[in-house]
Amino acid sequence: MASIYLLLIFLPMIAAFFILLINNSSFRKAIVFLMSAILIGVALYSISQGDKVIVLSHSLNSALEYLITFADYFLLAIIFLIGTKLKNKLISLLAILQFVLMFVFEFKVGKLDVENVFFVDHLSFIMLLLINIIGPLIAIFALSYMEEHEKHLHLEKSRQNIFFTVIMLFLGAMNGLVISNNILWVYFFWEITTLCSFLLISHDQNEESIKNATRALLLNSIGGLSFVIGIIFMYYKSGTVALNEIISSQDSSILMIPIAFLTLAAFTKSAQMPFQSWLLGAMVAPTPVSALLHSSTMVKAGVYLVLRLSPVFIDTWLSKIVAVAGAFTFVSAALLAIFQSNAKRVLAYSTISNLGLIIALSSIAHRYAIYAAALLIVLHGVSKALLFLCIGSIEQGIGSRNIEDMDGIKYKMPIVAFLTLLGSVSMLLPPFGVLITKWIAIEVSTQNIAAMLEIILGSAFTVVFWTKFIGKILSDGKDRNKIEKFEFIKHIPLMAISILVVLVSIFLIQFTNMFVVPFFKSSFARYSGVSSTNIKELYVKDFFGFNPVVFFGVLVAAVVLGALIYRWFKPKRYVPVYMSCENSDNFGFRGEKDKVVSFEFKNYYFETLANEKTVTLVVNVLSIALIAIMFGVILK
Amino acid sequence: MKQALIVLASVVLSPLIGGLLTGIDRKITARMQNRFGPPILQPFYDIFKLFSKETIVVSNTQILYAFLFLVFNIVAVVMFLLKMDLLLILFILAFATTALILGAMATNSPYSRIGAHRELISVLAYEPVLIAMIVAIYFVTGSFNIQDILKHNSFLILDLPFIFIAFSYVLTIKLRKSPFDLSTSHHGHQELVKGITTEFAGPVLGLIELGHWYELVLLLLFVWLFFAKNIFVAIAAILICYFLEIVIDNISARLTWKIMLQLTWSVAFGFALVNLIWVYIKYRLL
Repeated sequence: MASIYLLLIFLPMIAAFFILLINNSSFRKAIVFLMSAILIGVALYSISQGDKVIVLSHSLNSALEYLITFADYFLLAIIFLIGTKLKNKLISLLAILQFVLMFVFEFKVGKLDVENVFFVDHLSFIMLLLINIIGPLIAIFALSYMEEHEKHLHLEKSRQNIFFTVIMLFLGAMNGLVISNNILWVYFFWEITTLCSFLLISHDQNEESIKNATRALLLNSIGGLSFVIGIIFMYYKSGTVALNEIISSQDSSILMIPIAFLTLAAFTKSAQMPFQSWLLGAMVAPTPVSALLHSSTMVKAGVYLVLRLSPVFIDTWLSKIVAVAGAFTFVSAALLAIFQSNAKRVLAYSTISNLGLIIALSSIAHRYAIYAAALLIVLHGVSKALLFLCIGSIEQGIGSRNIEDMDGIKYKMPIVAFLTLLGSVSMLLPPFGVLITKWIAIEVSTQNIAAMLEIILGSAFTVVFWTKFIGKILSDGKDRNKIEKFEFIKHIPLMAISILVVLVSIFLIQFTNMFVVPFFKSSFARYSGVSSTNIKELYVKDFFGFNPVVFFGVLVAAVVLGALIYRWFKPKRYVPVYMSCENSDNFGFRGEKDKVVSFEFKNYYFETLANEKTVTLVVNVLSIALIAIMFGVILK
Repeated sequence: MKQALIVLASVVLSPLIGGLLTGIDRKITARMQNRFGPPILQPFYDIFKLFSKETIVVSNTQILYAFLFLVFNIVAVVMFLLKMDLLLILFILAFATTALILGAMATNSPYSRIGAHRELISVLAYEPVLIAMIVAIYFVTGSFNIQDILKHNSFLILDLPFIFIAFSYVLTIKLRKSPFDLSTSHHGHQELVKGITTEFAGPVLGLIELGHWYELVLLLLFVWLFFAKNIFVAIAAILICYFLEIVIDNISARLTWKIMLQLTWSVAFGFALVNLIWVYIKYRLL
């Protein structure tokens, strides 16, 4: 029984080893497809087993214990060496500090026995679904993307084996992170994801990518150090390092200090302000990497940790500050997204913004806030995976990731343009679920007026940058030549993810009943403020009267009706745009001496009001202040 | 059965009321400008004419967006009269505007695209004020549901005077009246031609016009919410409010989008915020 959980962690890692060893394209393809099928199968099987606390045989447990302890030090040594190689003393220093603290801690307290190796509940299931369905689909997409990518780079020797090795390692580590019960193990997998993201961001090995990867490593090392301090405090405050014991702990007040440090670690991993710069820098990596980092791995580890620890600290002053800090990231990242014309940066800021919302929701003491937080992890994951892969395809198609160059993309690359549209609409409009979580966020945040004001403003900003983005994808362009060819290995993963985007939103309530409510019941049972009303299954009327099926029904009806009306109004005549009757065509007018003057219109980026740099500076200062307040609150 | 009747009544009656009010608006405006003005039923003649015209478009997708604009507005009005969640109604209303913006951006016309972006800036200006208004109503009544809000036993305006001022302020933007008729105006001679609706014509423009009437009714229903205790007071308040909008429209010139943004965010949002905080203290903390 325990073996399926071990499989989830170690199978991708073994596959990674073989991919590294055998640098052969068809072998790699076979392994990626095989692993995808196995991972999805195993994940679904483990979910069918229900909530579990896994005890391994004594010998296996201690073997694993030694293995992971050793590997952990090894990992820190590698990060130290990378630091010295990059001539970045800070990274090396942070690695040494983690090493020493960890070593002294483990030496002093001796062997930390955690009998229950794996603690698998419905929150783990949600994460497993995300990691093992979206992750492999991105990997399959990357097969075709990376070939094209390397063609552009004119490499003599393919480095794809390293790329896919890291991706497989990443998926294994993420699985480990979400099912481990021993927080030291969580830390180990946490550090692997840091290393993996460093390797993936620096994949192209040019100056810019190495620089950005270094920044990612540095900021995540700060998080790593914070994590270690959190663990040590946790042990001395509660006498345990087992997650399931911590979250059922009766006295939350003594745990405030460790929770604050772990939350800070989560902030770095989820790229919350002021740590957002590493995720933006990560844009230089090949697009499947961005898709992976933003949807099913890396940044989701941070919000997972906050949501996991939420039962311990919810409705304390600490949680109120965390909610304000998360909501602050929500509003400021949305504001920064308005200034962006680079599609990937828009998406990156939108991710940061949504992660902020998830963190805010995770720390608001309200049943629906927790529901919405868990739902948003999934909804955001699927939509963002789709959007990044689409933007990657567009970039390879038209050679630019600037939104201003996407005029007429609906003619040039109809399939991808349509899927991009679906992805961005799912982040903004009803009846898709992301809107519902925003709606819940405003209604529940009335408990915390500062967070609420931030969410109100952020909500308006979100509408602005998404509308600009969608408007551009739908706009007319001069060049209407279709350049898109259907490629099985590239388009099938895209379509699969877009089907998931729609399905998750249609079955939002069923999904909540199946996964989120049980998680809430088991984790928040002891917390009376949240669960005072007896928790039953979620019926339609409980969800603020929102029924996705009805809304999708109205949508379908409207489309059918629209088609009929279209037949009725069928345009009889197409005309050029109005240019005071001086058109040459849709893209120019006759000027002096009938000379054709072409015009173009660009989106507003509000450069005259403010720019990204100043706003970033202000936002960073404010968010550092918030973090200082967060730590100030817990000091007695 | 009763609900079905409400749906039917709101779908049928709203455009009649909206059209009539628009006609009155035009008449009053004309008198203020020393003109005789069109008959009050003129908007209806206009819309019948629009629907009898040939369908001329620049791009096919425009029809879809015009249609969505109408549909979202109708859905919002129906949801209001079915006394559903206020915040969701506001979101639906925002998506009507989004549909219109996307429709204007679907063509390559610089006039309509600038109009679209100005409309987007308007959204940025009024959306926070509207949400703050709804949250303030929640603090006073303890509910987001119109059903429960109406059970409140006094006039909402007594608790929310500043919020009402802020709302009247953004109402000018929402109705696209001077000084905030940036994205489109009711006169065709401005620098943007007709701005956001430049590229719409014939029946497609008719759909948008119809959508506007629903929108107008919905916005005035928000006014009604503040005075819902007494129906006569409410009707009087709506009429006075609408008349004031017409007066402001006629005595002011257009401001630039920057000034609009600064004014709305400082003055209107400031007013809303002050009121929001005091009702928060009064109803939550005390």
